[in-house]
Amino acid sequence: MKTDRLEEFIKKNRSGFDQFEPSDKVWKNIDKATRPSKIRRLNTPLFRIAAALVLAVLFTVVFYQTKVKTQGGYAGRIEDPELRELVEAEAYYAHQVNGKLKEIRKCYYTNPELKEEIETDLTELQEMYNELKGDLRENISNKTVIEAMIDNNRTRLKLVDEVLEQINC
Amino acid sequence: MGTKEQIHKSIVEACQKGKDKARYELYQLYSKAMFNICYRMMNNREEAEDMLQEAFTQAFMNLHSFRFESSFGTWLKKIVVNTCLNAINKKKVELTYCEEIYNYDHPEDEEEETETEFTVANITKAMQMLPEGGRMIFSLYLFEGYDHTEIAQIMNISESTSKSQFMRAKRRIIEILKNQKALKK
Repeated sequence: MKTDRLEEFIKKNRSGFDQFEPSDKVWKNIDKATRPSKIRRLNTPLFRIAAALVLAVLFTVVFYQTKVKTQGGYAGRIEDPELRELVEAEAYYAHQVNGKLKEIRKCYYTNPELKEEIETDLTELQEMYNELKGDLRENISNKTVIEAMIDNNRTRLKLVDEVLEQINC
Repeated sequence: MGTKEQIHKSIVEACQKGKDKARYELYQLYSKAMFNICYRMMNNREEAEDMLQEAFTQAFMNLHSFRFESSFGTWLKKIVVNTCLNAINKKKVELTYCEEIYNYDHPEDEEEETETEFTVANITKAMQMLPEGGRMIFSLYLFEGYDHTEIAQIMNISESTSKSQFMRAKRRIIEILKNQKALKK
């Protein structure tokens, strides 16, 4: 074939025919267009960490809430339903009173006489409570004692509620 | 064949894992060869760059589907050629082919042909003057290594058209080179 010389020449010099170079903007555009996959890849571990953090925070919050309400599971283990109720109530009221007391304590600075008043009342209630606790241990008419103890708790909450209502600072 | 298919495997794999550096490495390894395919197909620098960009973008986006059944170069080349053909088909202009207007049975031809000097530059120039259909078949067969069955398939023409167009394109190039030589004289 007479034109085979052309074919031969091209085959021999094949690499020489690849003489053109693309400009830099081609890569820039390719890079830009294919980058989303990179962002997705980068985000995956970040999202995982964020999700794990959110879960950890949620778990801790739930755990502490149940811990406060049940005294670390202690209440759940008590078999006497009345006693369990008492422990649960104690935890509940203590949580409530402490929270409100914190608010009240912020006002001690502006109302110094308030401090004395409320702290004495609370100490008195606490003393009564300790006495009741002693009674409970000695098994003296438990039902009445427990009722009195819950009542004591209720009074404390009422006290801080009233104080909180009266003062405004 | 094993080694040919394995070539640049580690880079391709790193790229599949989303390594940025590997992506650029692959581009640097293959962009020049692929760009020249585009250039021969499109016969125009700007369009060739568009095709290169589109083909590489597609290749990177679909890299997860590449299973090392062929070499990466072969796989990429297919995408490049398809991208070019799609763009040409989108233009909805009928491809022009080489017409049979030369009297190549002329005994004089043989003598003159042997005198024709070939250089990369003058062949490239002559190819650029071919009708696009003929030019594409000529480059696919002689430069890109496709056979006529494959060319017939990807260009949606008959195998005999591919063969005859290749022959005509070859003759046309000789003719152009001869005319240029005559002009210089």
